[in-house]
Order: sequence, then structure tokens, then C-alpha cells
Amino acid sequence: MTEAARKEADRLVGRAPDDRRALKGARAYALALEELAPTVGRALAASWRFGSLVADQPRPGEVRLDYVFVAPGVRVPVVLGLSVPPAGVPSIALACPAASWAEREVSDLFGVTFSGSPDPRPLVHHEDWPEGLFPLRAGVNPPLPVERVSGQYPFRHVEGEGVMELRVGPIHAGIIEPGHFRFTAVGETVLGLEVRMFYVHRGVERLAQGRVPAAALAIAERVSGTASVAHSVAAARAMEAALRIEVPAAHALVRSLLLELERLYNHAGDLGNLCAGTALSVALAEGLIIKERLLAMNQALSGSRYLRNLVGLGGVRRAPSSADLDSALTGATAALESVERLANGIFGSATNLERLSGTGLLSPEHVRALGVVGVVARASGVRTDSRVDLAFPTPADSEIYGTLKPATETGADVAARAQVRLAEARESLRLCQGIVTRLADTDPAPPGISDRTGGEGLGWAEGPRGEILTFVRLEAGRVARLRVRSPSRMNWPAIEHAIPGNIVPDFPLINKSFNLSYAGCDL
Amino acid sequence: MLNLIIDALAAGRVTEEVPGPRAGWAAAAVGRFDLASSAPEALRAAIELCPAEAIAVERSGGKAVAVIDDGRCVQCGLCAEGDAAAFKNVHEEPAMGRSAASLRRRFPLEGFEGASLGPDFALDAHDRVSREGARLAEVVLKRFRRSLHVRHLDAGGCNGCDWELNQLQAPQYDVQRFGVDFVASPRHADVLLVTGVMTRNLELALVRTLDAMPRPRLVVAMGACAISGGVFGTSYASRGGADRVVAVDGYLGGCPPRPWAMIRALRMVLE
Ligand code: SF4
Ligand code: SF4
Repeated sequence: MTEAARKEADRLVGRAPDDRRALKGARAYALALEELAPTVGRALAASWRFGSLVADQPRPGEVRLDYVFVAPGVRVPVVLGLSVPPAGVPSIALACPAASWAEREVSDLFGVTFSGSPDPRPLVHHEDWPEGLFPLRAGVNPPLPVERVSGQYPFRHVEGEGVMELRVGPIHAGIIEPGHFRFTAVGETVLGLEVRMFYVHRGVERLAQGRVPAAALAIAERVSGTASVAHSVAAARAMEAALRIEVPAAHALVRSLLLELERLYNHAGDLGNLCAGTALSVALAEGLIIKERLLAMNQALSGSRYLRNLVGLGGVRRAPSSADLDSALTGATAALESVERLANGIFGSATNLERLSGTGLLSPEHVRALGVVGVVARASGVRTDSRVDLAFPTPADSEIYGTLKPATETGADVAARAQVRLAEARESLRLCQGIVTRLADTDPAPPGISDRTGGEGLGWAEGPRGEILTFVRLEAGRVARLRVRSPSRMNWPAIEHAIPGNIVPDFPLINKSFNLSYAGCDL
Repeated sequence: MLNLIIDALAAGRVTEEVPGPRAGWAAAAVGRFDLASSAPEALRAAIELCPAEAIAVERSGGKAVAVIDDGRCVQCGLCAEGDAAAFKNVHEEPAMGRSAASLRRRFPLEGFEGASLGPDFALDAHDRVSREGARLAEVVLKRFRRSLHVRHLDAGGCNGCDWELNQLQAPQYDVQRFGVDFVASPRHADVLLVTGVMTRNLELALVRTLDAMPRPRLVVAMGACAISGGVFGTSYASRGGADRVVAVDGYLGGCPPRPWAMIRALRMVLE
């Protein structure tokens, strides 16, 4: 079936994969500039999902653009690669809205211009960034701090009788990350929302350049705090593909265990956190209790409450003992029992459920058009989960995940997102049990190694918020380009479509049901 | 709803003297790293691997010293592994101090015998929160008349520090019992707690938030990012630590610092 889908992809693109291209972990085709738009058109018609746009400069003077898609059945990301001078690339954002932010980002960081773009505004750079300075272009090293210029960001503007504009952030009232939200409302009802991000843009991709793999993995681990494992696994898989490293079964299994434990503490915490949006404080406190227990358990297992410092190149840096694994499993099992009781409270209270149901609707059409991933997509009935869509690099993982059925709901509202999280928390525990059993009769082995020092690879991981796609190019044993596509990057634009028609005070609730990472989006 | 309340009552008291499982707590936790070997190859490898550029070798008075900056260290442990094992995790507690410079520790490289266990490593973690918490409550009582209002600002971190701050409100810690409350408006705040590296796009927001706070006020930088930039350092997008932009009264290392260390750091700046 996979073979047939791959042949079908070849037919759609009209050629065989590019065998001169050394990109591993993907099926890569070389395209001429004028072929891009028609090929993307056919791809979208065949239900390919836009994943990422990777700009890179393997040779100075030109920018290579890789359009990464996830195509049904192909089981590896499909890459449409262009080598272009940095100007005059036709924008695909009109046909493929999912690519809009990606194009804007590439313009800001590399200075590539996209012709015919429906939204050519800057994205990463705020209004005081000097024009013509592209910080990821090879050889660009501005004196620090970069000077500030005066400018204004052209927000969308809505006018009409009784229309008010509400500006919120970047600093919010609680302990949360910074971002700016601009609502237009009539009375309490929201007409539109514009989200402005990149306040926490730290230049992660640039910072990883020139680092050895281990150091770059530590940076990837800090892309988004509560997806530390997922980001480091995606980056490690990309590096391993690039260097043709095989990860031994025992190591791959421990990574999967960490990924599922990460999902479990996130989903448990998110279910409780949702109750902050409905003022159900007993359940909020219960959620915090459960999350704290899981974090303490993570620390006992890994030394880090966020399961950091374990994922390494070729596997994991330390193997947990079987006693550690058993107590983690016991802790996770007890936590899930508490989550079930919490869920009974959340869904069993009619007044609470009333707040969740029909709130923050996101249609499956929006999900598809915007390339939404993870819990949010699945709660709108779109069955996308990279643990099923993409093939695991290690056979041991394929076996464990062979039985996985991604949880979907059709409600497309806050309640559906909570239901999906509950179902996934159960599934994560089941997977953890399978992994620990399997680990008991898997031989320990040292991490995989390679004597290669260069190459390109794509890696993925299904984090708690959804699919992560990471591209790495290594040269002489160091990172020459790291490109991270976090799930939050795909899902932030979608929240703009889940708000209109709701009342302003429901925004925090809807936002919590998406639970997106600002840091993961802004990089 | 009723079930929730019944469950909550059945849960009883969960607020802990010390949160988390007691067994293995100290052994598994990562904190500060001491020099363990002066072998040049190991040091070189450690410097190369360190993602936060926290290790350096300096010469002072003709002698070589290894410097480890706890204000940068993200506790990744790479300098304590394999061929690069020049350091060793010996302190469970992350560093804290009133100046960023006080977080830099020096180890002479000649004739260095290896790191000994620091005194705080031997401390029983069991009673730490209650003891620190009680001290915090005392200070809050004296200086701020029982209540300390804290405004948090994420200047651009990975959000790990923020989640840990959030956990301070978990019933296990229940930071309110010590008189500490998180407030929405900077106008109500005594302390500004900064997490995350100082990004270019938030500099103005930080300055404005501080301007809105009444005096006397304190600024505390929590986490490697807020102290020095951590793994994000200084770049086209960020300035490094918060003290590049505003005056900071206290520093707490860690990536992220654990909640009990946050309680301790709050006490430190108040004393
Ligand atoms: S533990 Fe600290 S000092 Fe050692 S490599 Fe990691 S960040 Fe650097
Ligand atoms: S110090 Fe570490 S945990 Fe805290 S914001 Fe920075 S990277 Fe994240």
C-alpha cells in the first residue's frame, strides 16, 4: 500500500524522486520554479497536507526552498524542492493558506520575496526592525543589539456602527506567555480576532548553527518547555537520518515511553487547566495536583521534571533501570485513575458542560485549509496523527504503535478537544504499558553511531500538541541548518477562526482548549 | 459537580512538607555541577558540548581556573558524561544570589583533587519546603505586612519556567499559605518576577511593566534565560539576561528551577 502511494506521488509530481539530493527521511523531488504552483495544486487536490517550508543556503548566493507535505499513505514527508535566486517565487498561499505564515517567515529571515502573496506583511520582525536585514541569510551578522527604526504594523481593521476594538497583550493577566490579541466585537460578541505573535522569538534556528549535535539537541529541547521530549526526538531523528544512524530498539522504546509520558502529563494538566476558563476551581486544583504528581514522577525517572536531558544522538543518554520504569508505570496508572475522576467531574457537571459545548467551533474545512495538526485537528474530526501518518524509523516502535487508533471527535468545540485529550491520555498509558513490557525483553545496547559528519535529514515526532517536523543539515559534524516546524505554528492561525461568534469572555476558555505554545511558534 | 466535591474531600490534605516522591528525590535531581577532572581533553570536550556556553577556562595570576557559570548552566549534564566528564552534578540545589557574578564559581585546575560532595547535597530534602516556606512567611510578615504580591513576566523563554511558577499554586505547594499571591496588574505588585531571555520584541513591555509598579519594588530573574540568556544567549533576537534592560535584585538559576527553589529565592531577595 505504501509502495502504491509512493508511485502515485511520483505520478502526481510527474517524475521519480531526485536521486542527487542527499535528503534522508523524506521523498524529495526537484522542481523548476514554474512547476511549483501547478504541482501544489494537484497535491492539494489529492489531500496532501502542507507541513513546512524549509529555506536553506547550502551554497551562498542562492536559497533553496523545500516545500514539505504529508501525503496520504506515503509514510514519509514529501519534499518539493526549488533552487531559486532570492526573489520572485510565486506565492502558494492563496491556494494553500496553510503556507501563508511560512512564506512570511521566509521573507523576514531570508529575504525571499513571494509574488502574488495574499498577505505580504512581516511576521517575525516587528515594526521596529530595519528593512532589508535578513538575519538567517548566510554571512549576515549585524552588530548587536540590532538598531530600532520607527514603523507601524498594519493590523487588519474593521469599521462599522457599534464595532469596538479590544487590544489584549502582549503581557497578559496570568502566568502565561506573551502574545497580542486584537478583537473586534459588537457588544459581547466577537466579529473577528487577529493574533500577533513572535514576541518570544529568540532566533532558535540561528542559535543552533555551528553547534555539535548534542548541544543542538539541548537547544531543541528548549523550543517549547512542555514538549521538550518531542522537540528533541524530532531533531535527533532528523540528525540520525542525515548521518544514517540506526537507533537500537531499546533506545527507540525508551524515547517512545518518554514521548507518551510527556503527552500524559500535558493532557492531564490541560484538562485541569480548562477549568480555569470555566471557574470550576475544585477541578482546577485537582488538575494541578495530578500534574504535580506526574512532574515529580518524571523527575524520579529522568532527573528532570520535564523529562529533559535524556534524548541523545543515536538513542538515549542513560537507560532507566527496570525499577525506575516500574515505578513510572505505577505512577502513571494512578494518575490516570485520578484523571478519570476529574473527567467525570468536568463532563458530569451540566453547567460546566454547557460552557464547553458549542464553544470555539473550528470546522474541518478550516482544519484542512490551514494544515491544523494534533488534538485540535482530531477534535474537528480530521484524523491526522504522525504516529499513524508517518513511518517510525525503528521497527520496535512500529510494532508498539501498530495498534494505535487516533482518537477523534466530531464536536469541533472545546468539549471535543477535552474528550480527545482524555482518550489520548488513556491511550498513552496503554502504550506505556506495552513499551515497558517490551523493554523487559529487549537487549540493552549502546546508542547508534556513525562515522559520517554531514548530510541532510527530516525527522518528526508527535508531541502533546501534535506533529513536529524538523529539518537538519549537518556539515563537518556541526549543525549548518536547523528548521523546526512546531504544531503551534500551524495551529495559531486557526484560532482566529474559532473565535468569531463567541463572546469575548469565552476567549480564555477557547484558548486553553487549543493550549498552544507561544515559544514553539515564535522560535 | 457534587462528585467533584466529594472527591476533593476524600483526597484530604495533599499540601506537602516537601512535594513529590521522597525516595530518589535527591539522587535524581540535577542542580549545580562541580569540577571533577582537570584533564584538558575532558575540559575541552565539555566546553565544546555545553549548549549554554557556561564553562570557561581562565588564567588568573599565572594559574589556570575552570569557571562554571551557574547563571548560564541549563543543567543538561553533557559536561558530566563520557569523554567530556570534566564536571559532576554534586549539588541538588540550583544557585541563587544577589548578583549575576556571584553565580560564577571557580575551580583551580592545578593539583585539583576532584570535587567533594557539597554540604547542601547531604541535606535532607524532606523538610526543605516547610523550613524555607516558614522563613518566607516570616519575612513577608515583617516587610510586606503578611502579603507579597508578585507580577510575573515572561520575557521570552521556552515556557518551562512559567509552568513551574504555575505549579506553585498547586495544592502541594500552595504558595499562598506563605502570603505570596500572583496578581494580574503590575500596579498591585511588590515583586516583578522575570522568566525567559530578554527578547528584542519584549524589551519595551518589560520596561513599561516595571514603570507601572509602585515603589518599593523588587525584580527577580528566575531561570538561566532570565539571568544570562541560558541556551539562547545573545543574538539578533535577544539581549541575554533581564539585567541588560532593568536593574535586578535577585537571581535564581536552573532550567527550569524547581518550585521549592523559587520559594527559597523569594525569601532570599526579601531578606
Ligand atoms: S550541565 Fe551546565 S555547564 Fe554542564 S554542559 Fe550543561 S549547561 Fe553546560
Ligand atoms: S531557563 Fe530553561 S526552562 Fe526556563 S525559560 Fe529558559 S530554557 Fe525554559
